[in-house]
Order: sequence, then C-alpha cells, then structure tokens
Amino acid sequence: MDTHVLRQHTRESVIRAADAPPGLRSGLRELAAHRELLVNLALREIRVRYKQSVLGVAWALIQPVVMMLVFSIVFGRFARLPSEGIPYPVFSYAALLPWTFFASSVSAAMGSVAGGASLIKKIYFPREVLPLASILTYTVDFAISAAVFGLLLAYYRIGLTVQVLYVVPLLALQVAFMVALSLLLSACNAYYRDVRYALPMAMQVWLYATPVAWSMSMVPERYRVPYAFANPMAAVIDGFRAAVLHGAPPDWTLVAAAGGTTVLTLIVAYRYFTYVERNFADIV
Amino acid sequence: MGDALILDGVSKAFRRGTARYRSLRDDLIVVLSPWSWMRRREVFWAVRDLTFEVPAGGALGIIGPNGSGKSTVLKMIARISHPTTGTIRIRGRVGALIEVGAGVHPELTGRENIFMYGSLMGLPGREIARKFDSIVDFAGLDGFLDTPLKHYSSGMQVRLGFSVAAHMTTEILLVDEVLAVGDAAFQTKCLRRMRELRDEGVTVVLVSHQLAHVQRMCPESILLVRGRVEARGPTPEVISRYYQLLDTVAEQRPEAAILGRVAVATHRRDEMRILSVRLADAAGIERPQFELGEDLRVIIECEAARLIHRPQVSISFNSSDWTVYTGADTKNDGFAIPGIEGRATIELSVPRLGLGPGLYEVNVGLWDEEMLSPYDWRWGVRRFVVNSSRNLFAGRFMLPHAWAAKDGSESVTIQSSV
Repeated sequence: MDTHVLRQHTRESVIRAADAPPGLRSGLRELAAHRELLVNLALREIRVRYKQSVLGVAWALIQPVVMMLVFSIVFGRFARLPSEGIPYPVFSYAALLPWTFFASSVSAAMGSVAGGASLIKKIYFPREVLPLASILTYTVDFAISAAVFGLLLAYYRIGLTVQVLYVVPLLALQVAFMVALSLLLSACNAYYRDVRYALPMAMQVWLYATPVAWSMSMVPERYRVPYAFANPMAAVIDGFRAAVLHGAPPDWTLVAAAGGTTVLTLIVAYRYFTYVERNFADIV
Repeated sequence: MGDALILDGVSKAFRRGTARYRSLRDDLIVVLSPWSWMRRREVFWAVRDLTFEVPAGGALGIIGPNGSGKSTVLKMIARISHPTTGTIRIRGRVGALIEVGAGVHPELTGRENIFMYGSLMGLPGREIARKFDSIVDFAGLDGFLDTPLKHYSSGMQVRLGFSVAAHMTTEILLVDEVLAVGDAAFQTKCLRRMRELRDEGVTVVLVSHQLAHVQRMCPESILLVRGRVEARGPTPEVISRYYQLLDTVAEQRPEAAILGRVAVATHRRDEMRILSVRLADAAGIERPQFELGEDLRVIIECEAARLIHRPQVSISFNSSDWTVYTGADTKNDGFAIPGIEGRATIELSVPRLGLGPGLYEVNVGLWDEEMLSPYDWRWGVRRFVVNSSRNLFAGRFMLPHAWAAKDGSESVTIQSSV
C-alpha cells in the first residue's frame, strides 16, 4: 500500500452558521478545484447514455433533424413562412442547432440537483457542478449536430465566410444565459418540484416565441430591442443566422440587450443558488 | 500541534413534520395563513449546542442511539450540511467515508467507476492513476475491472467505493458506520487501514454502533443523546455510560425488562412459569450494574400449578446484539431439583463475574427433566451493565488467570485480581 504523506501546510477553513454565502471569487476557486469532477460527471452521463441506447451517438442528431423536417414541411411548405432567402431546411436548422443545445441542456440541468440527491447528501462539492455538468454533457450533442449542419450547408452549397467566427461570442452569450437559467431552475426545482412539470411546457412556448421557425425580420424594427431584452435567445439565434447564413455580423444592439438580460439573470441566479445550496443536503 | 477540528456551539435544526420537499402550493398556503407561520417555526434540533475539539492526530469516537445526531455532526464537518448556529473550524482537508456507494454508476465499468469515485472524493485523476493498482488490490477486484458495475455483487460494489476512499490523503478523516458493510475479512482490512491512517497522523472522527470498533480506534469518545453531549472522556467510560443509559431506557419500560420475549410459545406455561428474575450482588442487594470481577447472583422465582418432578433450569447471557456469551443449565451441571409445587426460588451464583464491560441480557428457561421442551423460556428478562475500572486488553471475557515470570535467579508470580 502506498505510504501516506501528510501535507506540511494545513489550510484552515471556518464554517460559521451566520456567514453569508462565499462570494463569486471563492466560488469560482472552489469550482476550479473541482473541475475534474465536473468533467467526470459529464463523461459519466455521456458514456451511460451511449452505452444504454442502441443508436448511441445518433440520438444527438435525431432531435434537431426531425424538428428540421417537421418545420420544413409545416412552416416551409404549408405556411410558407419567409426564410430570408435561404432554403427553409437550412434556415430552420441554423436556429434549431443552438436552440436544441439550449433547451436540452437547461432541461437536464433543471433536474440535476434533485437528481443528484444521493451525491449531495453524502459528499461535499460545490453544488454548481451538477447543473454545469449537464450543460457540458450537451455540448457533445451540440458538436455532433453542428457537424450535421456542415453537411447540410455543403448539400445546399452555402459557403461560409470568415464572418462565421461571430458565432463564438454568440455561443458564449448563449452559454452564459444557459448557466444562469440552469442555476436558477435547478435550485428552484430542489425546493419546488413544480418546476419539473412546468418547464417542458415553458420550453415549448419559448420555442415558438423565439425566431426558430420564423425570421426575426417578421418582428417590427422598433420592438426588436425590447424583444431581445425579454428573450436573449432571440438575439442569439438571429445573430447565428446572420453569421452563418448571410456572412454578416449580428445586430449588436440586440446582442447587447440580450447580454444585459443575461448578466442580470446570472447575478440573480448565482446569488440565489449560493444562498440555497447549503440547504440542498437537507431538502433533496 | 493544536486542534485539527473545533466545534463551538454548533446546532442543527430541521423543520419538523413537513414533507421533505415542498410544492409551491404549500408555500403559498404558508404565506397566506397566519397559523402556518407558527407551525413553520416548529423545528426539531438534531444537534444542539455542540462544543468539542479534536487534537491534530487524535481519534474521536461518537456514539449514541439512533437519531441522536451523530451523522448530522459528521455531515456538518464535511460541509455537506450547513449548521444552524455555531462555528466549525477545520485545519486541513477533510475526507469523508460517509456511506460509500454514492456516485458509482451501474452501467460503468469498475475502472471507470474508480476514477469517477476518486474525483467525487477530490482525488486528482493522476493520483488515482498512480494508486490504481493499490486500490484494485485493496478491493480485490482484479479481473473485474472492465465489467460493468451492475454485474458486481453488492459486496464488491461496496469494496470498490471504500477502497478508493481508503486511498485518500486528507488530514482529517470522517468515518460513518462504513464498517457495517462488507464481509469480515474486508472489515478487518478496513479497520487495519484506518488504524494505519491514524498512526500516520490523520485525525479521525468515527461514528459507529460497533462499540468494539470505537474502543479499538479511539481513545476518546463523546456520547450524543438527542443532539446533546451526554458524556465525554476516555472511550471505556463513555461506553459504560452509554450502557447505563440503555439500561435506564429499559427500566422505563419495566414490562419489557422483566417479562422479556417469549422464546418459544408454549401453553405449558400454565403448568410452570417464571414469576420474576432478579440480579443481586453478594450481599443480596438488587442492582442493575456490576463491576467486572464482582459476584453476581441470578434469583429466579417460579410457580408450578401442579407438582413438577425434576425440572431443569437454564440461564444464559447475551450482549445487546444477541450474541450469546455463555450459559449454564442444571442438567449438564448435574444439579437435581427434586420437584416444585407452588412457589419456589432457584438461584445461580456467579463468583467473580468474567463478562467484559458491556450491556448484557439474561435469558431464563424452565424445562422438563430431559430438557426437550420448555415450560417457560424467556429472552432478555433482565438487563445489566458490567463496568470495569480496568480495560480488558482484548475481547469481551476476563478469564481467571495468573501471570508468572522467571529471570534465572528468582521467580515472580503475580496473582490476578480476578
């Protein structure tokens, strides 16, 4: 057996009942110290998912592809919604790609704290790891369905320009918003299981309230900024289409509005999460 | 060196009577109705005003009945649960062996689970890789590493979790009842590993119902009862205090203590039955507690409805976990009772009681001549506590013994006091 070596330096930590939750800086430091756990939890989910199902990786594509087909038939063919001059399947898939990433990771993250009860009750780790691991899990799905998008673009002979790099800040904004919602919803769901039942419905509504099946051009100009404030995903998806399909920069005003909402949500969500997380072990 | 762990006025409250998780509706009702505000404040103190410290490199045992708050204390130290009041100071990193098994996934292989478990415990991947062989060896899982965990026996699953945990290198180790799992061989291995860690200077806090383990691991213990410290000090004394407490509980329910459980349902009790069983010292004074090495008398009063020829009597002693330690009966001892009609008293004398410190139960049987079927046979008719000012070196029995030593010129014989 390996001999045990005591560390010479010992760190003192103090837990005071009345203390406020630790601030962002120490929270991030804790998180960094547990990054391996974060990665391993995500890997565990991915491995398990693909070990248990026959289709395995294919499931990551099926959802956006099926949605794309349905949208193309219903909205593209029957309703003949305008698609910014882009073939409708590409038009809708360009939006479904970030949307699916958003919807599936937020849904998974929502249940992560309640679902991680056995861990939470037995082992200490920063609880943020659980919702973050859910998001990380779905980045793999996102990468796979992005590859399919590449094939789709090639099929329709739509070339990418260097402007496609705008998706990087857009995705960063989206992930920040996803983190905010995931923290908020997972903490709420630990207390109120109502969230679990409300969220799928809310996500359905949200999908149609976001320019996924339809184009942002259908929103009157003067409503766009308040709209992006209210729904950051609208700005992200509109920008995504601009960058990928039109080779144009996103509408920065809308992105700024979405960013404002995101920062606000992030602050509220992180405060709330750190405020309640110390009770998770007692309530889940 | 100082203290590794200081708890100062630590309490933990849970809300009593409410469902584990609320629904929004419940909370709305609470907000809207004045009574429920009152009800909401009704809390249950799992741990109340706990103050103790553990010196660096020390080992503290926490014992107490179920629900006394032992695990809650560990959870607060491990930062799993936040205290309601008080302060906890921790010098060094804390590792916890609180109920192994969390975090392992049945679909993943043993190898994958070892890494998963390690990162849950805060062990970096490279450290696990370095200790991998040692972990596998400790768990005895060689050859099963690439098998999904769902095909493991439950014992193997537990061993996997514990083996990873046993390779943690933290300054403070919290252990909660892990030794209740695994087979005897693995338990021994775990105890040995815990002792190794302790000897290497790791501070250990051990919660267990296995008092023998606590006694072997921890020189000092605290006894928690209903969230408060009932006793604190050298482990043998605290354990003996615990036994006394258990005995008081028994005395508060006299029917349980005196009548005991009927071992074999028999209608022959109508013919002859046990009326009472009393425990007394040499002077004939009834007592619930005895010192190791004292004389003990068991006095049975019985009543026969008709003349019973040559009845036999059995008496045995078991610990609270139902291990029968020893016993005696009139048939094997060749002691013949000619016959009993009406009331009679039968007495067993135990000179220099050799049972080690602990809580014992007395079982009494009244039998026919051949000891084939009992008239009345009861388990746990009485409980008593054995205390000892001296420790037994090992085990639960004091054998009558004497020491002798020779150094060539003269021989010395020391008679044991027992």
